[in-house]
Amino acid sequence: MKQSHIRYSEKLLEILFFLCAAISVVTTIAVIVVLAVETYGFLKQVPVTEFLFGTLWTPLLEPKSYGLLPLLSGTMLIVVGASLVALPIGVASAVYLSEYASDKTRRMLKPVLEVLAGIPTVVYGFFALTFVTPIIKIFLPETHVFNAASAAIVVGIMVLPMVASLCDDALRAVPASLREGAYSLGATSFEVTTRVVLPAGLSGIFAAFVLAISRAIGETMAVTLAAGATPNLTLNPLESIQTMTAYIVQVSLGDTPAGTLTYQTLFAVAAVLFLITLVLNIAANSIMKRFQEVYE
Amino acid sequence: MQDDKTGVILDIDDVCISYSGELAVRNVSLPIYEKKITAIIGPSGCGKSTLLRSLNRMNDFIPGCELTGTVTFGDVNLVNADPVDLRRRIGMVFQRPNPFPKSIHRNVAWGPTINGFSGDMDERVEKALQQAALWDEVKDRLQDSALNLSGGQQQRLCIARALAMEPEIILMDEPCSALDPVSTARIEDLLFELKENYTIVIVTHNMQQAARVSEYTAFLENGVLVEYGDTEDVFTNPRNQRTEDYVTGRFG
Repeated sequence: MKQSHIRYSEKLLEILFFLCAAISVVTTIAVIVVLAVETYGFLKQVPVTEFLFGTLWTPLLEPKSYGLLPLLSGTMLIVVGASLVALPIGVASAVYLSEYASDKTRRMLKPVLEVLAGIPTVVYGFFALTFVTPIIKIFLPETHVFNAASAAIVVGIMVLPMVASLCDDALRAVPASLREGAYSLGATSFEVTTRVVLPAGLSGIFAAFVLAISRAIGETMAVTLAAGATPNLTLNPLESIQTMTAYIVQVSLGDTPAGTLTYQTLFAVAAVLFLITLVLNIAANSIMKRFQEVYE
Repeated sequence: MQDDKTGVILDIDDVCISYSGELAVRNVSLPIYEKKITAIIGPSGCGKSTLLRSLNRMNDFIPGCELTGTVTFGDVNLVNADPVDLRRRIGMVFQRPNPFPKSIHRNVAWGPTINGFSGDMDERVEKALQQAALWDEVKDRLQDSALNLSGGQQQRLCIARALAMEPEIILMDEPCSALDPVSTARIEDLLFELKENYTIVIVTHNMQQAARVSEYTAFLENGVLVEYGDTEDVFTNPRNQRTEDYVTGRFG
């Protein structure tokens, strides 16, 4: 009697836990379905070639035009700029943490990195606007008040802790026996790092890069605040631009009625954003898996 | 042991090694003779690997590890020598094969490359692989990944990698402990050929192996050198009761 009572509550708990686990899966599926339906509605009115290859994005102004390229180029400017900041500094930090720092230093620095990762992104945006842009202006006076460069720099700083931490994990996954082997052949620390540890950890570092790029693409607050709201097909980082995410913020904050074509642009842009980050995240995962197998 | 230092390439004198204050090796004095094989035996945790790794300063990487005493190598005390230079002259083979995840050729060429070797690299690689008795098995696939080799082949590759530096001394830390008996036998055969040109110090807890391959044997227990002498004497006519108990398998 008692035993069956225990089994009954066990079963109940199992169902409860299953429901909790199901929430995130169901939500993801729901988001994908909504994105797909609204994007389909959008593409019924705007040909997919115009959407993907058009060079003018003016859904809020007459004459309306729905070419995504200015938003894509804006996003890419941020990604490239942020990568230039985050990738080299991130790898160098990881090399220091994993190869040079003493255990004590490491134990102090790792939490600092994590704190840096926890700063709200709006703070970074504000920082870009009020601190980074004025500095850029000192050197390049033609810089716009809102510009891609300062946003890209702070997005780079924003993803830096993640790059450093993931690269550090990748380097520390390289077995100590490889380092010992290299040292025993009369290598210096620098030679061990550059010729054994970094090549062996390369796929993990690469995966970190891909995840960082994925995050830079999805980053919203800093670029909305600092990069501007001008869909602008340009390669000049000193000009005001608009990213895909910033566009979504702009329209969401406005009073665009549901069901209109402008409203549907939100979902179309979000779908593109989702697809890009999805592909990048899958790529990063498969790269990581491969590098985990190497040493097993 | 004796005052006669002829033929001694490494003179370990009153060496103590501690980890964060805890003594692992206590006042060990021991000569290592040139172009001979010296075996260091003893139960697990007796400090034999610690002692071996101090000879090419590999303990430098262990925080809190300290060494007192002197180890004379030629005319330098290697305790104060530049570890990078030192390791070019004293090579090491580890307990588990640790080839780099690179091609066979690049593994062997790695040491000479970083040390600025400017001669014929292919020749150097072939010579090292031949000395390590691996050449015939890999000569047609030098560009294959070293990780595709069997464990025994990987260990011989690691020996070739150390030999390519043309060191004076090779330290071996239980080089056969991860290998099957056939691979072990091949490596032991190899040791006989290598001692023509190299001084070898081998740590092993396989007493038969020590008896088979070495000329001199040192028996360590709890960090203390219990006995050192000709291998034959240590195994057949030990002076110390503890040694006799250990080599006859009564403990350890």
